[in-house]
Amino acid sequence: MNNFFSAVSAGFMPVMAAVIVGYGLIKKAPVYDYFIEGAKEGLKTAVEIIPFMVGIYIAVNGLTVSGFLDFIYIVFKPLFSLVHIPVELLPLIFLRAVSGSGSFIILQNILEITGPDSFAGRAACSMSGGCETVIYVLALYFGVTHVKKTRHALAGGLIGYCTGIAVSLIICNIL
Amino acid sequence: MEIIATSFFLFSINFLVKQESRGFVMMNYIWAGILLLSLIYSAFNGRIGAFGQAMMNSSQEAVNFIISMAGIMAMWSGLMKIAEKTGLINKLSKCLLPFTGLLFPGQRDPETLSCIIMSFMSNIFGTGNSSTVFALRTMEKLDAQNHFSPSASNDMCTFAVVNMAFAPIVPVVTVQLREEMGSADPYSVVLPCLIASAATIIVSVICCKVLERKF
Repeated sequence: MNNFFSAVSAGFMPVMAAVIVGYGLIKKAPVYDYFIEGAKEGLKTAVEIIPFMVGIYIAVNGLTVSGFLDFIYIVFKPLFSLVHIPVELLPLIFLRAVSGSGSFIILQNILEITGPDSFAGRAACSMSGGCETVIYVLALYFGVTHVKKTRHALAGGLIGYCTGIAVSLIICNIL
Repeated sequence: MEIIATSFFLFSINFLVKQESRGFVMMNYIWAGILLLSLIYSAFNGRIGAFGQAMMNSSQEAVNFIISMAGIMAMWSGLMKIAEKTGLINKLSKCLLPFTGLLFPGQRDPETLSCIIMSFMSNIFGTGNSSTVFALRTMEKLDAQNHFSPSASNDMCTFAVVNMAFAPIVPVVTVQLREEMGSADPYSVVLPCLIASAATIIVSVICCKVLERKF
């Protein structure tokens, strides 16, 4: 089972590439010329998003370093012990929405403290696997557009994120 | 100190909500808000030096990240160009029309649809960077369809929210970490992850469809 999963993951990109190039050859298309043309466009996009990435990174890392998250933990701690959610999960629940690499370090800490097979450990893994960095993704995606008003994207993303957290907790409690 | 921070926090939320009701909320406010909030908080915390350091380091990190991703971006764009010009994309997007039509009614452009599909697929197969590449492409195309309007289209919001919810079939890094930590069954989190992600997708889609009429 494990091998099957990793084989599928590893095989995806090479197989896609082979299918695309193979199909092009069958159609007798100048595949190399097309490839170069597309690659040029890709590089242009990469350069265009650099300013947005700089902006997002500054804001996110600044927030993490300032210690503001510690303050949020203090506010929410009583609420969490009230509904019997392990307090160790608190930092992960908040940081997962903001920073991918930051939340990974926190996941590592949680697993060290509680052990990977405990309820908190499994819930933490499920959260970091099943939820995404909502704030970061939104800023990046809309950064490349001319959109100034993101309408319901933030609300929808956050509701989805909360669902992911809640379902992780419930599922790990049952399984 | 906590009281000052709390009131400032509440004030900024209040401010944002007010702007939202006037239809003014923008990336500008969110970005400036986060930055100023962290700046003030770090000053209270005595971490202002670390904050300055973080600002410089993170700008550098951002550029490094893009440079490390630029090659992958060029490669996929190149391959997709071949698929686009040979008509492979047209075929693929026609096959998947029943699925994409559900999420993006009215979206008929084969190039945009193929970018959407590729983004979802690379997310599922756990190649996150490729997914980002396709997602950004999709957003650019949707932006053009939206005539570069300052207000996001329904398709943009749905795409952004749903793409966020897609999780890889195997969260490779998480499983690896569990193995290192000496877990008895590192793969036991695969199913919970999938269920959590599926629930997130369903709720997100419903949310988008409901909210797009209100905003």
